[in-house]
Amino acid sequence: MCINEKQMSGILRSVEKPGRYTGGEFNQIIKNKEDVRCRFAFVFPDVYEIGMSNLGIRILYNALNREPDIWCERAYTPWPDMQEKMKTYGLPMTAHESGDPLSAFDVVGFTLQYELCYSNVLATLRLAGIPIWAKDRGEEHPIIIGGGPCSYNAEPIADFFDVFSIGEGEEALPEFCRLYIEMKENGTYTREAFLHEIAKHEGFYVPSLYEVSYNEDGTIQAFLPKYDDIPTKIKKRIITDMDKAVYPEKLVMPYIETVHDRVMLEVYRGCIRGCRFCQAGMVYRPIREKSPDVLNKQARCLYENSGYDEMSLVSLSISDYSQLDELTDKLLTWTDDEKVTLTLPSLRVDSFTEELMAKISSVRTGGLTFAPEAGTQRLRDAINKNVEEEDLLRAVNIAFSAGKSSVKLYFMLGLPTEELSDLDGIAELADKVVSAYFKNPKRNRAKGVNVTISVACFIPKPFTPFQWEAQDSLEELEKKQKYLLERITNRRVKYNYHDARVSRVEAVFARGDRRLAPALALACEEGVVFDSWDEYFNYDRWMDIFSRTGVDPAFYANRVFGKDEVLPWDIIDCGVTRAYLWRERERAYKNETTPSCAEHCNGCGANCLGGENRWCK
Amino acid sequence: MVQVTFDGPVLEKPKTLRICFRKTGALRYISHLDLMRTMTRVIARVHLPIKYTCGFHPIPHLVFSAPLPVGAESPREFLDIAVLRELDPADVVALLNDGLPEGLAVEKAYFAETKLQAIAAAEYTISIHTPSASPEVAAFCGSLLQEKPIVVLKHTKSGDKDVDISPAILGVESGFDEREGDIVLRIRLRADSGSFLNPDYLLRYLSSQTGILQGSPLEEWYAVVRTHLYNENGQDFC
Repeated sequence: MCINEKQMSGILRSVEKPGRYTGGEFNQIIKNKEDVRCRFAFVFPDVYEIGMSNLGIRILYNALNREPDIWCERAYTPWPDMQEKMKTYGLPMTAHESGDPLSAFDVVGFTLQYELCYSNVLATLRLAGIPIWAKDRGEEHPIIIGGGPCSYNAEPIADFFDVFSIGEGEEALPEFCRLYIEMKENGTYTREAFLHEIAKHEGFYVPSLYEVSYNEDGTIQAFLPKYDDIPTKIKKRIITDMDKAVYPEKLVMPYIETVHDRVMLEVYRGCIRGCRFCQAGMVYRPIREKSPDVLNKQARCLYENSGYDEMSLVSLSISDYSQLDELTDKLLTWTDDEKVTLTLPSLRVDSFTEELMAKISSVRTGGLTFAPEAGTQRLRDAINKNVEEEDLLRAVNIAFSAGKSSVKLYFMLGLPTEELSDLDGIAELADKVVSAYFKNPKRNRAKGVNVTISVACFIPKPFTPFQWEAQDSLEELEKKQKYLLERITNRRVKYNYHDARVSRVEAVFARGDRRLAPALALACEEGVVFDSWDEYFNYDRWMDIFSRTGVDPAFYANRVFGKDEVLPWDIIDCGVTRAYLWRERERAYKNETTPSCAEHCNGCGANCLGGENRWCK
Repeated sequence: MVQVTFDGPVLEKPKTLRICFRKTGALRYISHLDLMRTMTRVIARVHLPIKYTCGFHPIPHLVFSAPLPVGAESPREFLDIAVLRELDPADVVALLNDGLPEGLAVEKAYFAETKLQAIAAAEYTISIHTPSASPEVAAFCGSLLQEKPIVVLKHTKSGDKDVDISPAILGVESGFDEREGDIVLRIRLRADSGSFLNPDYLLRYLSSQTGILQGSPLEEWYAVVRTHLYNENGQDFC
């Protein structure tokens, strides 16, 4: 249906935040369609304000658009109120820059940041009029590609995607488009021929080219490539020299307020720590840093082109950056004059110093956040958090002395080897932080202390030492949440906890396999969307969908996977070896810590991927 | 790209520079807060030497004319900034236009003698497209808005309450656009900070009284344009 601008205006005025859909942002990239040989729609399967905050998309948008004949546009899943209007008035799902329907693109890419966005991926395809099953798509449809953290175990959505890009995409995605253009123009292109060809390139996983067989007990027997010229394992791609990696000089500037509305400066990739529950800490290895000079230049350029008054130094653990002092000193030579404030998320208590505090204390008041993750030293050792109680108390004292009065602490509940005494430890630790405040002579006496403890449920994730572990049952998780609630008696301590039912569904998809696809398709049929939003998540409906599609959620979430079992993500090689992960798991059960990469190379295997490898042996 | 460096002599006292810009096209869907953020950033990008608020987290000191309702267009809105150096307003216009989207283009900038608080009234043209539109319906809509009282449910700081908005309606003219088949209302509303009235209330009132604009947006639509801002003598504000 053709809708004129005046009619559209009525629709836009009837939905929440019409600025989500109108586009036209400063620094967006518009190209002449005549000059373009491959049109790529990059979809973030969540609402605009979340999608516009994602650093990965900013980087890849730039990496694709610097190629003159590739035009990458953005798209976001419309909020349910807009989805309703689109269905009522027959409006197609369109890309932001051109307003052209997604179905007319050569390639539609989805970034898969969290498992609970899967329902949005399917809903978005459906709004675009593109068949959700890969096997139902023909030559007239775009190629559907996925990437991002969830592609490390893409099996639950494997039947909906034509291909996945595994690992870092700055070089891989332009290469992908180049092959597409080449085959289109030399006449060898068919969907099938292209997918077969791209599967031979490093870092591309074409699920339809692999046959999965299952054992009688429901576990996977094997992944078999259908052709001899297809790799048996897909090796992740990385950028070896971060200083030379393409980085956006201009940021698309949203008009409406987004979640992270600031300059995000990516300082390094990877993590030296090796917390045993953490997927990002494993799959983004090896560690590769950018140099302070390059970062300072990029920061200045991004500021000049955006006018943002806040800059966030982004990495998995910023205080582990080996040249943090040098970098912050360089930045502070101009950020104060330009009234730009620096923020450092992901601070670790053991490397949080007074000097660092002084550098960021010019930022607006507001609290500091630390993540001890577990309440006792025994459990922190078991998960390899390598943080001591005294580190935490020292860190909060630095903050209190500098006038801060609110501290947020992240914990996890349901971790492997956890006992009730570990939960007691969470409550006790929060109490100790409160009393540290009152004992601190330099504290801000005008304010009372606020300690917020935010407790997430442990979810076993692929490519972590805890990938084999079972998640506690829903009943156990809820019982533990209630137990902790009763332990927290201090009125200065605020206790937040995540809905355990959400974590359970996330666990099912995190370790799921291809047999979950019918459940996702049925969910799409029934209009399930925005599972990551409390107001839309419905546990009972998911359980009903699982039972109607023959899925036993406990098989994926609450089962201890076998040491030698074929795991759904065994098809992927993320660099870190299975032997290393198992070794780390065994150490966990002995409450043994493993030193960080900066202290000692532990032989995780990621150095085989290349890269700067400052610490790898 | 325009290159200008603002290195003129520092003024003894900051001067008020008035920037006249439009808000049209897709930009009419952004809120007043969004507009403030957008302007703050473009001013930082071009390094205008302007006064910042004091305090822990300084932000540029910007004063805007009365907010436009989301969805309404305007050919001329005003933004006052306090500049700290001698500069040529034409340079400011060129630089800002370089960094602003088409829908927020700056028309002119000048050193202002007046204050934005002197804005007393605003005039809006409201076009309503509805299948039942006729010169008679248009006249009827016009007469409805001239009755007293006009009670609407108003959203205020102390909650929603019934308020008579008729004292804020300074003038109503109705007409009929034969070519488009639209009801056209020209309405003058109070716009001083104490009694600013959002024209959306009038549309809601008309809709509830006549049943128009309750159907599908494919058959019924409306547009709001703020055509003028006036001072208390009824002259165009500048």
